[in-house]
This record gives sequence, C-alpha cells and structure tokens, in this order.
Amino acid sequence: MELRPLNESNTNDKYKTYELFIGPNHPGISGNFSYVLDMEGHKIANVTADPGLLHRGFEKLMERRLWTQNLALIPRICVPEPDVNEVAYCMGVEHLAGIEVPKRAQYIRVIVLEMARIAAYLFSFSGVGGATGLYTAPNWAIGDRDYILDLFEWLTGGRVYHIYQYPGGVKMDIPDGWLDKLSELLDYLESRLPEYDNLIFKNPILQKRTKGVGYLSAEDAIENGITGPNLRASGVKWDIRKAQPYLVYDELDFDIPETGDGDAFSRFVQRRLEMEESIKILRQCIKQIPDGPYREKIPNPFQFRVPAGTYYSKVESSKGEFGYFIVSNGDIKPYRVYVRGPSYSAGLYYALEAMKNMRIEDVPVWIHSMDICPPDFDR
Amino acid sequence: MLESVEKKVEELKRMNLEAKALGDWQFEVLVPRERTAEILAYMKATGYKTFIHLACVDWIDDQEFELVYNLENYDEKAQALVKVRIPRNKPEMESMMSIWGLCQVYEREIHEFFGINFIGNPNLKPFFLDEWLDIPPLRKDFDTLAFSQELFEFKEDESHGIKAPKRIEYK
Amino acid sequence: MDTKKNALAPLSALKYLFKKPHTVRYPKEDLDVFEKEGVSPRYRGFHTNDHSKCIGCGNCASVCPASAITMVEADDVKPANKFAKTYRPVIDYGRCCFCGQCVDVCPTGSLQMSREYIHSFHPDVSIPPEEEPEKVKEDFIWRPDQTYANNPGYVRTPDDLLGKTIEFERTDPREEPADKRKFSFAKFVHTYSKEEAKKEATRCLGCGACVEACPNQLHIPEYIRSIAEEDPEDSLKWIYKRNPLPLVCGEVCTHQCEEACVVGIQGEPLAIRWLKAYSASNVENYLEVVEEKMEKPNGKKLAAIGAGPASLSFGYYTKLLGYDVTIYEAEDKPGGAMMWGIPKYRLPKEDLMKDINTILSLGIKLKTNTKIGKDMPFDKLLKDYDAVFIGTGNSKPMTLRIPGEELPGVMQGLTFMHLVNEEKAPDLKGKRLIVIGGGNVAMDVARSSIRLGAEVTVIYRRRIADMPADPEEIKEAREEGVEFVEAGVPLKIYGEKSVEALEYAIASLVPDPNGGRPRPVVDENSPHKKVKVDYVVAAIGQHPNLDFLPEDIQEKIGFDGRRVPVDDFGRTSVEGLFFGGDLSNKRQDIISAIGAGLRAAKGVDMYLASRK
Repeated sequence: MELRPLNESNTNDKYKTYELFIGPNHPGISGNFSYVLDMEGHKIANVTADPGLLHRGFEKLMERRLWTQNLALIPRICVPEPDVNEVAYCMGVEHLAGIEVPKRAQYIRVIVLEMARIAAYLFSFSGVGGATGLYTAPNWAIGDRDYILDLFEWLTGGRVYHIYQYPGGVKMDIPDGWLDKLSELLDYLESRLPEYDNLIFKNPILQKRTKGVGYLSAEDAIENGITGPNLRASGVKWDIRKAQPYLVYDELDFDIPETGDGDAFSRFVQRRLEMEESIKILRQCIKQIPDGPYREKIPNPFQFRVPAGTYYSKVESSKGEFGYFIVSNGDIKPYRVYVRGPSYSAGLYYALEAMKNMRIEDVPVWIHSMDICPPDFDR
Repeated sequence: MLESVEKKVEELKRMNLEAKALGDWQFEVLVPRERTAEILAYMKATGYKTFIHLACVDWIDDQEFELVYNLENYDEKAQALVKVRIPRNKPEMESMMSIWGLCQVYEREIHEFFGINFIGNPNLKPFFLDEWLDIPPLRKDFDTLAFSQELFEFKEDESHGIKAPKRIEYK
Repeated sequence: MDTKKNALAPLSALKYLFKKPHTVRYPKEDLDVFEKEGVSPRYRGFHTNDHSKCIGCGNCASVCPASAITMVEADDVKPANKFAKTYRPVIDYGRCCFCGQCVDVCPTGSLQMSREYIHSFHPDVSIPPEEEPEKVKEDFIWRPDQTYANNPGYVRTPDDLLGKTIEFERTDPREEPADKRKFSFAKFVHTYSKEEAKKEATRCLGCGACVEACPNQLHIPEYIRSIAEEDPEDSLKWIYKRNPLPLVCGEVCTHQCEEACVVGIQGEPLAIRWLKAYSASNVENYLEVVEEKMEKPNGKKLAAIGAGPASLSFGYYTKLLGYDVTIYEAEDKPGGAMMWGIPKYRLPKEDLMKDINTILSLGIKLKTNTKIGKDMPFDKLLKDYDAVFIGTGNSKPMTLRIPGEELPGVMQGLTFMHLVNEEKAPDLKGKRLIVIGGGNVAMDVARSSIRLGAEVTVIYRRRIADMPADPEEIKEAREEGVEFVEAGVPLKIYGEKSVEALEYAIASLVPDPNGGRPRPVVDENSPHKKVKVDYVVAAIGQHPNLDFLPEDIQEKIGFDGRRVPVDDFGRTSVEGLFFGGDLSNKRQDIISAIGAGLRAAKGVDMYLASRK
C-alpha cells in the first residue's frame, strides 16, 4: 500500500475537513442537542445546529389543554429555572383576564423567581467548571443548589418542577418559619461566594481558558437578539426588571452590575455579580413582604375563560428575556401560545457565526458562557 | 402607558396603519403584506433594533395566517408586535433576512410548523422534526390525538375493563 | 468583585480536605430542613381517596392534564349519598405528573395526596419477561384508597385551599324583602343580571351529576356553559331539546338538580333553576332561536286531554315529528296546574303564557271549555284519532274526613288557589285562616292568604323538617309571617252557619325504625287545642280523576285510584292510549310531567310506526 505524503493530504479538500458531532450526549453540551462541526484540524470551519431531540410540541399541547392545566406542562420548558415559565404565563393570562394579583402574591413570586435565578446561576457555575475541567466547581455548585431546592420543596411540594403559580397568585401561602430558613440560606450562600471567587474566578487557568473567547460586541448582541446577562456583559445596560418593571421590582433596590468586556470570562463574572444582587433582592423581600391574601379567586378550571386578545408577557430569566406570546379567542383553552426562549437566537443562529474559526476546546466554554439551554428553543 | 409607546402608535397611525397599545410598554401594529419589509426596516431605523421573535398564528376561521414580528427598543423601553396576515391557501411571505439575519432560523421553524414558504430564504430544510410526512403540525387542522393514536400502540382497554361514565368533551 | 489572577486562590479549596464530607441526602433525615423527617409536608406523592366521601363525579379525571385518571365502577363501595355514583378514580402512575390539580377540583375533598412515593422501580428478576408488563401494570395503575392516609402531603385544608379553586359561594338573585313582598302578588325573585348569571354559571364544574338527578335529564352542563359564554340563546337551544317550558321550569321547578350538584357538598349548590330562568327570560322569541326542524306533516292525528305540562310537552314533541295534535282542555285557559295551582308571585301568568303560546304557535290545536265525557264522549276521541294521550293530572282533592267539613268556609287547597288565580278569592282582610297540610300547595295557600291580608297558621301532622314542601318555600313563608304548628292533627271543625273554630290534637311522633319520617300517633293523653278561625283550607293532597274513562278501560289499564301503571314510554295495555304527568309519575312535579310527555311522544311515534 502506498502511503500518501502528509502535505499532499492536507491540500485535498476531501480529507482536509471532517465532520464532528458534538452532542446530543456530550458533557460539554447542556441538554439533548447537537452541533455538527466541520473541522479543519483543530479549527471549526462550519457549524450546523441540529435541534429536535428534545422537541415535545409544547405549543401544540397547550392549545389542547385548559388554561390552568397548562401550568403542569410549561415548567418543563426550562429545566434549570422552571418558575419563569409559570410566572410569565400567569402574568400574560392575568393581563388578558384583567386579574389584579395581591401584593403578597407578587412578593412571593419575586422570591420564587430570584431563588430560581440563584439556582440557575449555580447551575451555570457548574457549567463553567465542567467546560474547563475544574470538577470541584460542579460538585460545590450542585450541592449548594440543593439547599435552594429544599426550600422550594418545603414551599411548593416539588423540588424541580414546582407547579406553584396560578392565575391570580400562588397556590399556597408561605409556611411558618420558611422565611427564617431562607434568610439563613442567604447567609450561607453569601459566605460561599468568596470561596467560589477563589476557586473559579481568580483561577489563572480558568481565566486563560475564558478570557478573549467568544467576544461579542454590543452591536452584535443587539443585532442577534441576545438578551439577559450575555447582553449586559457586552455593555448594554438592559434589564427588564429595571426597564419595564413587572411584579414588585420597582419597589426593590438593586443594581445592574457592569462588566462590559463581552468575552466568555466577563459573561461568567456577570452572572456571579448578579447572584449577589439577587441575594440583595431576596433580603429586601423578606423584610418588606406584606400580609394579606396570596391568591385572587378565579373561576374553576373548567369555566376559566380568558377574554379574546393577544399579549406578550416577559420575564427576565437567568438566561435573558423569557416571553410568552399568548393569543386567546375567549375560550376555555388558549388559541395559541408561543414561547420565546432566550437561548433561541444564540443557540440556533448566532452560534453558527460565533463558533466559526473557534478551536474545538473552546466550544463548551462558549456554550456555557452563553448559558445555552436547548429545552427553551427545542420545546 | 409609556409616552414613547403613545407617540409611536400615533406615528404609525399617521402612516395609515392600524396600531394600538396592548399594555404599558407594548403595542401592536397591523401591516399589509406588501409593506412589511418597509415597515420593519423603518422600525429598525427608529430604534426597534432587537428582533425578539417571529411567531405564527393560524386563524383557520378567517383562512389566514398571522405572522407576528416582535421587536424591542432598548432606548425607549418599548416593544412592538408587527402583525402581518397572509392567506392560508397561498402561504407565502417575503423573507426578512436582509433586515435581521436572525429571521433565517425563525422562518425555517415556521416553514416547518406551518408550511409557510418564505421567498428568499435559502435554507428551509427540516429543522426540529424527524422525517415528517404529515401536514405541518402546528396548523389548527392537524389533530394531535389522531396522530398519536396512529403512531403509538394504544392500550385498547383504557378503562381497565369497566366502562367509565361518559364525560362532557370540552372541545 | 476582585477578579485578579491569583494562582494560590484555587488552592484554598484544599481546606475542605480536612473537613467532614458533606452529603446531600434525600429524603431528608435531619429534622432541621422542614421539621419533619422525609419529604416536604406539602409533598405531592401518591394519592389517597376516602371512599366514604368520594361521589364518583369524575372531576379529577377531567382536569388531569396527563389523562392519568380513569373513572372505574367499583362494586365494593357504597354511594356516599342519594345521588352519588360508585365510580372511583384509578390512577396510572406512569402518566401522573403529580401536579395536584385533581386535589384542587375535588368537590368533596376526598381525593388528597400523601408523602409516599417511589423513586425507581425494579420488577422482580424471577418474573418471566413476558409477564413483566402485567406486573408493572399492577404496581403502577391502581385505585387510591386510605392506605397512605396517615401520611398526608398536599391536602386541602379548610382555611387554606378550600374554595380557592371551586367557588363555593352562591350568587343569589335580587329578592324583595319579606315585609314588602307580603303585600303584593308581583314576582319577588328577580332574574339574574348578565354579570350575576355569568358569575353563577362559572361555578359549574360540568360534571353532569345534575343530569342524572333531573327527572327529565336536561342538558344542564351544556346550557350553563352557554350562559358562562354569555350566549343565552345557545343555552335556550340546549334547554329546548328536552323541555319546551323553560321559563316555567326556571321559576317554579322543584330543582332536584340542585340537590345533586357536587358543589353543594361542601358549599352552596349552583342556582341551576335561576340560570334557566335567566336564559329563557333573555330571549324574546324562542322559536327564532331554537330553530327546531319540523318534520313534514304525516297526516296522522293525535289527541291530548288536559292542557297541562305533560300534554303541552307531548304536543310540542309530536308536532315536531309531523303529527297533527289537538289538545282538549276543560277550563277556559290552557296550563292546568301551572295556570290555576301556582300563585302569581311565583309564576306570573304572562311568563306562563309566553311558554305556552310558543308551543301552540307551532300549529297545535287547542280546544278549551271542552270537557271530555261531558262535552265530548271519550269513545269518539278513540275513534277519530290515531292515538290519545291523557295528562289530566290530579284533580280530585283528598278530604279531611272530620266532622264539620261540609261547613261553608272549609275549602280545598286547589279550589282555593283556583279562586285566587281567578282573583275571585273571598275577602280575607283581618280574617284568621288555617291551612292543613305541609306540601307545596299548602305553602301556596298560606302565602297567597298572607298577601290577601289574612292571619295564617299552617298545621302539619309531623315536624317542619318532614314537610314535603321545598325548604325555601317554608323559609320564605315564615319570613312573611306564616305561623307553623308541628304535629297537629285536626279533629273537629265547629260552627253553625260557617266555620268558627277548629279543634286539633298535638300528636306524639313515633320514630320510624327504618329511618323514614316519624309517624304521628294521637291517643287519649294527647293535648287538645281549640282555636278560633274563619277559614280552613285543606291541602293534604289530590288524586287523579279518571271518571270520564269508560269503566272497562279503567279496569284494563289497571288504574287503582291513585296511579296509572305505564312503561317507560307512557304506554298502557290499551293500544293507542298513552298516559303521562301526575297520573303516572312517581314524582308529581312539572318537570317530571314534561319528561313523561316527551317520553310518550317517543312512545306514540314508535307505536304508530310499528302499526303501519
């Protein structure tokens, strides 16, 4: 057999590039989703996104179910942070039906949302560690997240999918002693933050792996519909909680942290800083939460009709703008619900551009820095 | 209602378009198909730079599809739902890729789920679904129950051998 | 935040090398988490179902988003009440998503969730693979009972969740206060406004328990749903499918449906009757809305005797089938008991005529002032018509059988009501009147007399709680100032030219060993009372009057003086002769009579089709 000289094979297109499947079961990818990479050695020449492995047809299923039945379904659209689905959907339904939510319920919703945000950020810490081979970080982060899940379980009866929101408020009131436990947990999490800083963010190896990777300019971010911490890490000060305050966010005092470098490292740091703000918000909620009803009465599930109309309700999630475009024709079931997942534009469109000419080892870092969560686009 | 939203609604009304506010920071504008590109480009030039989503609603009673372009303006803190109606029997629409490259994936998704053909979009290959041969699944005339009954082996004996009381079917 | 590079910083994690390993355990063993070992006190685990409370309504099955619940008939449980079914939920835990919505909509609160669960499931390895699916089915599809009741998780507690998902509070229509309404024969219960009707209609769970309780099985959930959708016209369409007298039933029905309503178990039942009145009174012209298709005339002739609810219903449904119907009525106006028995404050005559005129406008012939047997022989009817329907109801009043009954001033309940409705009642201002009896007729007499200015006492031989009249009627009568005497047995009426006094005994009530109503017993120890009185009205029931029938026919149909035995379609052993209404019904009310008319219409159609 004749061996071809190495330099000759390099010039032949057929052998120069090869296809590499990353996912659907790959530790570097979050969730069942895959990219098909056309590789030239270490470098990526072309990227194709291959979604569909998670497709459950939520939007169609929701058209077949009653308005309140859907509440058992939609948390499953985003696994790390399911509450944004429930809250955004309920807010949309309440707007269309003209239901006024009691103040206490709004505070409880903020508490639930911020706890979920912290849990999701801890999840993303584990992603940082996983993507860079720093396996202590996932162990710590998932362990600490479990304390939050314990509190969720106590409050809602469920650990991951809470099914706790209801049009008009929340299903149950806060149990006795729960807020004290929450404040203890916040103390603990705060004490852990410097440790995470030491382990992850000051780590020279991690900084070398993430600094300068996946640079995203402010213009590109806006053009490509990228929202949330990723947008803020590129220097655009846009947070729905501040700009178009929903629930009681206008009564709470918090900042939008600024990093503004636009690379993977600054996106990680952005999340870490926002976690601190979330703790701040939670502390204020514990202090300010008023007494009163936690739920407004609505007709029973079989007779709950939402007046005809359309509305786009949105929530600032840990990944960006999570929106529900709800169309009602006045019936007991939604006419159409469209779910705007924050990872859609980055994961399915911008990734194809951003990952070009990237080295293979940077792909997981990029994916985790953009916090791409396939269930929210492959719904 | 935000002042910027009020202003924009007035402005769009002056352009002979139907526009109305839906909430404090949100408004909708109904655009005829042939003016879509013009209006979207105009919106982008006037600050509505972020493309949030493109959704489709199947109004089967009107025999129309409604495309909803959702745009966001970070400076004025406003959100616009630009709605375009196209006939259901001739589901065709111009691609808006030249305005937002992002439209490419959204159009591909809608092509798959509603069967709308976007003229000018080079890549309308199947996206989420595997070997789909039926009618586009998010259309209102697609029956999910019949589909799953055909696809999956159903338990013949749903009631475990005993006839259950007849219930009112909420359709 | 300081993000300066520091190679030593990550090494700070090394200090954990010397700490005790930290393990996240699940379920929680330390009581520090929720002060209770195991899972959360609100955990949504396996279901528990209290079979003594469950009524088998199936709301849990309808609300389940995953279709995990199937209602299965159980032979080992007793129905929880008169209207309850013995269906019980069987849950497929392969589908259940533990959302708890079934618990929220359970109207009895019998279905709850426990803190029991399994994390994973391994069938026994010794089971042959072909039997494994059956084994899995056994473990995953089962009927919840009280097994896990000692470990409750997500449950509805009275102060927390009860009434949050189901609205238990009834929206009552506006009503005139007692001191105002007792001087007027005007209707005192107003019909719902649009908002009130919608609010009340949205309380309905749509389970259909009411349908089975209704003597005529109206499409109740459907017409309530239409009201909730603000469409009274569609609602009327549903009502007309089985009831051509919507406004009458909306105002004076005995509403068995409301007794069966599942919302009434823990709260107040839906005001189904008022909702029907709402949709009927909000439609001007019924026929335009109902758009019932009429068959082509088939040339066959039918006769109905007595223009009461049974005959009117019979006439309406046979006319739709294409028959030529003639109704014979002895009085000068149609309506029967609805016209002459029910007082105007409950059923205004114009409302009654709206319903009747709609039926007659289909082209049904009405011959008033024609008494069969007197103005026209019965045999002629049998000869001239293809079939004859008899719905003459109960017109022969029962007598008191006490001395003094023949005195002027002693009246029968129905006769009295007839006079009141004709506005020919005697002047009762300041007079004392005693009503004997405890049925709805007695209440009508008492309340009408109050409106005519009399002082009214009702004497009943058992307790007030045992009265067959509607509890509402009794309550309203008391509000209007009617006095009640319990366990009173009239003995003698005194008087020379007219009634002057009534003597009655207070009986002792002997409880019924079978749980029925107690039996009044009068002996020599019973205290006697004598009261001054101007009028005595006996409303103790009526019997059918079939004297116009030839005796051989009376014998042939098996008439025993009280009831005519008929089958499901009003048929008797005499061919072409059909009975309905109070003559043959167990329950003697309007809705049962309408049902009998409807069934007889089907019966006639079958009979004439088979004779062809």
